[in-house]
Amino acid sequence: MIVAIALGTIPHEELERAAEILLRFSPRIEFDPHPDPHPRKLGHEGALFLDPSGLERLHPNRRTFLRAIRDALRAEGFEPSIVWGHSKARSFAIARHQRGIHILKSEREERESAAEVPLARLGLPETIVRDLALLGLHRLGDLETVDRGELRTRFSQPEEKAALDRLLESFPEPLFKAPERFRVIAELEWPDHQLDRLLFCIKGALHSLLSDLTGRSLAAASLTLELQEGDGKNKRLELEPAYATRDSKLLLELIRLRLNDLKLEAPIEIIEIEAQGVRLEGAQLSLFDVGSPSLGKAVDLDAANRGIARLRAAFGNGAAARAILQESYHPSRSFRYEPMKEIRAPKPKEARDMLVRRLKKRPQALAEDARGYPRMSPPIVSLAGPYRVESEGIARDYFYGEREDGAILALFRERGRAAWFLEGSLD
Amino acid sequence: MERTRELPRGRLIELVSELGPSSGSSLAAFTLREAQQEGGLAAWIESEEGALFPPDLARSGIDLDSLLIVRTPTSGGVIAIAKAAEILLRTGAFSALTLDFASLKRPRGEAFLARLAALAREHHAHVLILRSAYDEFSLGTSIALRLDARRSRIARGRFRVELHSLKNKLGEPPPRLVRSFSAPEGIR
Repeated sequence: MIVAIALGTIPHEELERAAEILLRFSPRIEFDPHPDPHPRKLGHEGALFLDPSGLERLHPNRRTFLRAIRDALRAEGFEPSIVWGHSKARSFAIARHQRGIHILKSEREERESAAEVPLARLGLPETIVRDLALLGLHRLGDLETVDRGELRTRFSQPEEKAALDRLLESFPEPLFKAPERFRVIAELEWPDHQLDRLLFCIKGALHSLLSDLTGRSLAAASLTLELQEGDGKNKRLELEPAYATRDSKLLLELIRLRLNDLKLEAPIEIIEIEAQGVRLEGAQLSLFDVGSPSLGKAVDLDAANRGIARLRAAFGNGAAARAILQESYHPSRSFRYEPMKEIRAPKPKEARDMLVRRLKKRPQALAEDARGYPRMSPPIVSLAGPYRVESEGIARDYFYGEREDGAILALFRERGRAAWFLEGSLD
Repeated sequence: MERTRELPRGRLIELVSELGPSSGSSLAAFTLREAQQEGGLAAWIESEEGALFPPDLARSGIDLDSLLIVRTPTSGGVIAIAKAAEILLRTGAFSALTLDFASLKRPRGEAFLARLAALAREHHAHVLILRSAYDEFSLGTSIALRLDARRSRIARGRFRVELHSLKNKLGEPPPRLVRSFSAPEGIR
């Protein structure tokens, strides 16, 4: 993670003054890593980078953190553009193009945004920008459409060559152009809500959509289906295959899984399908037989990812998840679920065998008995605790209670209240 | 004390959960970790109201980044979980699945179990089903083993888990496991 700050063209002393201000927020501040003797050249004007790692607990909200930086710089007469990104070159390019504060959640989003930055905004010599425009290259993403080696041969002036080299070296990895969208509309001869007949209609429309994609050498990264019912209501379905594909059978299977659980209230009149077209990425064929280690084969991650795509189609995008641990003293807040699109090979740790707890979705309220224990049947015979936790605005006393039948229960009591709650059990 | 004989692969195994000293979820977590240690993929399938507590799985050595957790709609009940398991088994890439039926009603019919049993056999996968101990009988004839992993205290914060067979259709003696487990911090 990196925070890139673009301050426009300013003298070096001013840049140092801005860096002094940023030191209030993080001890890790960097000037441009490649000082440039010509401050008007590519990406070397008013560039500051702040490393935000380790500051999450101090500034849990990224936007508030960036606003505080902006306000501090504005108070000293600077007009900054700030981008929270993943790579210096891409974040800084975006900061130079877009005013204000931008938070790029993923590297993919950063690459897509960087692809849209006009070459003219990067401080290149005007002659280079003009010559690149003659070749049809206007934005950073357009550089992906040409061979970089051939492009270098078109410029002979040493100054131009150096500027172009610096540009290409700043962006060694491919940028993603914003995906193109393709749409097809199928009108049913007679309104229908029978699944097989709807699928037959979708199949025809899908073939036409895929041939459009084939014509542009693209593949479908996602599909959006809009089903228009006779009463004017629309149903919108979003599907994502495991990887961009032009395989109609695979896409139809995902559509079938999603439609299976759909309750249609009225017959469908019009089906609109929109595909997001991206470049088809080839994968090397595996030389070894893949499957499952339980059959003595290498694990087949592609097959697993196709299975995950089917799960997402059948039960919704949030159904396939991975657990993310987060810091909290309260058990129910110590994890969250994040949708999973791809699985990777496991790397389990050596650990002791541990008993695991089961946690109720909602704690169950329990009355208190005469001994001051929570009332249960069979009764609780011993309590371990209290383990006092007062954080995140919640004050609780946690206990482990052992029941007469040997069950071990996770219990808590809100501080200052007599009520007990059953949170889970050891299982 | 550490005596183990692996739970059989390719069969449907029911584990008693959520009653007294039973430790079905701990045994399921142990099996998923073993599968991951062999390089296999593992998944935990439960309804949205499920009771999984991932921090304890991480403490027992499971790689959470590579553990697929499937959360099916509660309204779909057992059938939705079985459908998700079927999708994963058909890929042939998963070597251990835990299906958490503990808080769900037993459905009518056994066709879904027969399909799961056939897929588990074909792909030689561990398929463990957590059932509430209040359900007195196993789910159906396709269940090859019904086990109760019973816990007893051996020291402060240490427990012995021993398998007891409640149903065995393997045609051989049931698997044996006597193993000591640590309890989460705070449990005496």
